[in-house]
Amino acid sequence: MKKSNIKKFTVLGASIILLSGSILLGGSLAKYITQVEGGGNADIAKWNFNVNSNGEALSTIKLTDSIHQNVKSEKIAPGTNGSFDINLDASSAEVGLDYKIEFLNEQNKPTNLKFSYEGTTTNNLKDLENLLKGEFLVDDTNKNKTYTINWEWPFETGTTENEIMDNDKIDTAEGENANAYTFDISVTATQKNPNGNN
Amino acid sequence: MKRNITFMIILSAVLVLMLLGMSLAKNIEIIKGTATANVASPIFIAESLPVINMTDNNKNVTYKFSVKNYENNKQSDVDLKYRITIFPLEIDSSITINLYRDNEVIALNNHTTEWIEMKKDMKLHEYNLEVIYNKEASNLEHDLIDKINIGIEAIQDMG
Repeated sequence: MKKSNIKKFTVLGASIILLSGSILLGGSLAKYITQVEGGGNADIAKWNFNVNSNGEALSTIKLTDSIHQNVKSEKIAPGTNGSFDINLDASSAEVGLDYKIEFLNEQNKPTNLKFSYEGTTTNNLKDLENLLKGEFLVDDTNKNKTYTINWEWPFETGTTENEIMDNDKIDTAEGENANAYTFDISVTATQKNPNGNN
Repeated sequence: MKRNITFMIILSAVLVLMLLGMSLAKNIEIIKGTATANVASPIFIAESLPVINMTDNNKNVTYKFSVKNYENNKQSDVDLKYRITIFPLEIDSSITINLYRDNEVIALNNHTTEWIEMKKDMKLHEYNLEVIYNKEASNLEHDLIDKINIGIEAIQDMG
């Protein structure tokens, strides 16, 4: 009976130690710090990844930097086009990383507005996402990458007279509603596993 | 039973430890931004007087109408161009039509004007359509009951 109690205490004690260990581990790894353990120094690889657009913070992307004489500035309309850049900078990172660019919460997109990247043209930003991912290896000499996304709202859309007329009506209705077109851009960078397994 | 519970506690703790290790063993950074673009709004409005009847006593009428690219102090965001057509395209020879803007005669080709520019700054174009009935110019012996309509077609102008 007494032996059984000791056994229970040992098992419970082990589980408490394990739980404490997990809490401590969570606390020490929850922020990125340089650690000194035992008698030796362990320099933690630097993690630095930045994204901006046209030299500005990613949060300020405007589609309408280009000027069209026949359209009010900072507005898009049929017949306008332009581009925006997403600049990735991992030059200060001392680890390899995978990255991907995603477009979320797209609202009020003009129906005939098109996007293109390196020869691929789509009606939907989401369809470009497969082309907007990659990696920076730790030994890469160039750890910068600029993605230039082109957009165009054609003056006329369609090949037949009826198609063009139908799309003119859509363009006009969307112009009369004049809602702001917005979408979110998310760039995710994930450190590569130094052991080669992700 | 108690041994099973103890085992489950240990297993749970180990799993928590493993999961913590997996999620914190690598760096993940998510940078977000929002892109915006305001859609340009076209404004084109035609205004006219009520219908005017031509009669034997009223053989020369002037019908006033105007077009503008603004409404309630909001102006069009895009350049526009428009053309005016006077219907019907075939009209009895007893009726003559003349279109004026600012007292200048506007040329009509097959009852239709050239494309007229309307830049995006606030614009009001006022027109007078003069319709003259000259009974002597026609061999018609019955009354004319044609309606004269003004059609205006406007499109965005990219220059």
